[in-house]
Amino acid sequence: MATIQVHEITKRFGHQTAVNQVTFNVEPGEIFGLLGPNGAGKTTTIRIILDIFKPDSGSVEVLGGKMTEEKKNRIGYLPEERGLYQDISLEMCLNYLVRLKGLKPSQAAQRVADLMKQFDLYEHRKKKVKELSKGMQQKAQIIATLAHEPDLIIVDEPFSGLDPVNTQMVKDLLREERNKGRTIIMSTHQMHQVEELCDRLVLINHGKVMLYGKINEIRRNFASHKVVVHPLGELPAYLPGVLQVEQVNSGYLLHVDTGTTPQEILKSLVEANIPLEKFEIAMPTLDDIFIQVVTAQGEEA
Amino acid sequence: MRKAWIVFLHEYVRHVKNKRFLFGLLSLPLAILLMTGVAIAAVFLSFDFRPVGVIDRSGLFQDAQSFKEMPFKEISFFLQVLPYDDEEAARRALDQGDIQAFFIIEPDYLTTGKVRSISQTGVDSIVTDVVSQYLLTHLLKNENPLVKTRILEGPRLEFETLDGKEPINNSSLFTSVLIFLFGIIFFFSINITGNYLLQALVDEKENRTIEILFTSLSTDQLMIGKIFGNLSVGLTQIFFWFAIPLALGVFALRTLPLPNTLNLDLSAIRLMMLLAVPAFIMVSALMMLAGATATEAREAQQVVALFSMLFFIPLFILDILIENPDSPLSIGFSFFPFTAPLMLPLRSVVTRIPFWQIAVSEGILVLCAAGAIWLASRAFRLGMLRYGKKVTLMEIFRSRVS
Repeated sequence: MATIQVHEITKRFGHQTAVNQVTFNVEPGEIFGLLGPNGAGKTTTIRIILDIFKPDSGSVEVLGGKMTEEKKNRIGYLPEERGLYQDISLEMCLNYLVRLKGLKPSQAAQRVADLMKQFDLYEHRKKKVKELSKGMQQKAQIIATLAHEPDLIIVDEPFSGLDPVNTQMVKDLLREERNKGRTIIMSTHQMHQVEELCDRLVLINHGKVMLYGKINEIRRNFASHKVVVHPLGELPAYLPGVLQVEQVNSGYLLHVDTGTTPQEILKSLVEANIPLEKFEIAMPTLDDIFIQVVTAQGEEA
Repeated sequence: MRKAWIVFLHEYVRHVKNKRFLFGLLSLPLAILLMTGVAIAAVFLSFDFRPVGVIDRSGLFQDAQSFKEMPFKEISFFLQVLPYDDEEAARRALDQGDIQAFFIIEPDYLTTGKVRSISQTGVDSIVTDVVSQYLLTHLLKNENPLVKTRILEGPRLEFETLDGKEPINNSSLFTSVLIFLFGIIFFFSINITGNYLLQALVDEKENRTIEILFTSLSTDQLMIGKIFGNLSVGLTQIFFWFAIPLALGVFALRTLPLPNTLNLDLSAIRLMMLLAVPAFIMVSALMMLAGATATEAREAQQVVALFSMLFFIPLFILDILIENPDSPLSIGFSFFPFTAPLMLPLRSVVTRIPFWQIAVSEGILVLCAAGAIWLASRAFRLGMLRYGKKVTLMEIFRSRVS
């Protein structure tokens, strides 16, 4: 059974439709990407999932049913609009937020202390939050999201404000959580992070679902008839089925005739005794797909 | 409700541990104590505490003691009355500065009441009062104690008129002053607690923590924790601010003979308390409404100032109220939820208010408090996620939040 089932939800604010008939499932133990340009309806969708907003129509099931107060203790949420109490100590702030997730005071204090040590924040625990750097505050928010060991983790732009070392740490942490069987929804603009971490994704634009499925399948569907070749020597002047040869970096991008398969190109190269370092089907990046989908919809609109 | 309790404690502790709060807490009582100290010091420094002499030529005060029979509560406790055998000895003491004045009780005192006062620069009226009290007490020393007390304290007057209206007298004036004082405490309470509540909401908006809170506990629990936490912070401050003057007031009332001469009407104060509870809840909810819908603290504070001004309308029309306490205007303001907490008790001092008016007024206040909570709850949910945008009343009514 899916951890989250979003079924044809629609939400309007005045005359503007923020989310329009959005449907997707999030499966247990996966990292699921929620993508879309600014103002696409991602945050509204998350808020509907979390029962902060009620949809005008459609339904949402979380952790096997409607949202309840008990289920809130099983969810960790890192919102895009980051916020911590600025005028109190880091320790007090985190203990409070974690206790609101149902932990006893001693449990909360222990978990918060452990995570502060892991994130190199322990020696800053007595400082007021406003005295911490943006990156430190970001790490503190991640602690508040994960300290109660939630079954469902929803993170909105989790890497913003983090340096490469901490970005890597958060990535490892998210993978670790997935390996423990926890379900993660990650909303981000950083497509390379999605490619690296997510199993499946949904792409929303103008409140509608544009893409939904496994990342590899989506990329395959968007794959054009191109192959990347890195020969040790020169390429022959003519290769059957190749329409155009484009030099890229240290290799070549071959534009292939629609009637020719990549396997036939490889066979031709082998028959022509061309030693190869690399031969691969040129798959589009998620960035390419994102731009392609969003731009196409923009032109249609 | 456990999470509401966590919110309550958090709100209370984070404010109370703040240095700004402690400074604010101590500043007013210290200022009051300082001013009281300066005033008392000024009185003590300017008042002449030297004894006064008495020369008895009437023979009526031969075995008079200076203060053993004097009432303890009188200021005469501080002022010694010394008997002298002759004028020469008294004059010598006056010249040497041992006494501030002396009084000669003439031989025909009983028939004429004649007493001469001799001093270098004149005497304070308190001194003459003390001497009069001294003479009276000793003249009555063999009298029945009840009669003696009645003569010394005078009558205790109660006023009534045939039409049922209670004329203004010392007693009702004193009650009115008390209502006024309670009104000021109420005004301070509303402003202080309201501002804490408002600031807490605006902070929450500015800190952007509300989204995390909404995914941790219900809006109701969050609101309850916030309202009671911040109300408690305000009440702590008010308690400290008013405990010292109140304790001084109680001490003064117990020490001075004031309550013996004034018949304090507590029913007006009780009525005010009855109306103050729903009024307090109503205003707190309206503060939340203002805090949740406003985009910045200053804007919300302006709305709050308007609320609190409305409570003082009865004091602005006090003259009309005393002249005609049962006019449609006075009755109308008794039903208006913002003016009722002061209007009804003030009217009750000068007229008998029918029970139905009290019931209707209380009923309206309770309904308004419930309505304000309902409205605040919707506004809270809708407005707290609007960063930098106002929420209109129409939006609150139309919104689907449950």
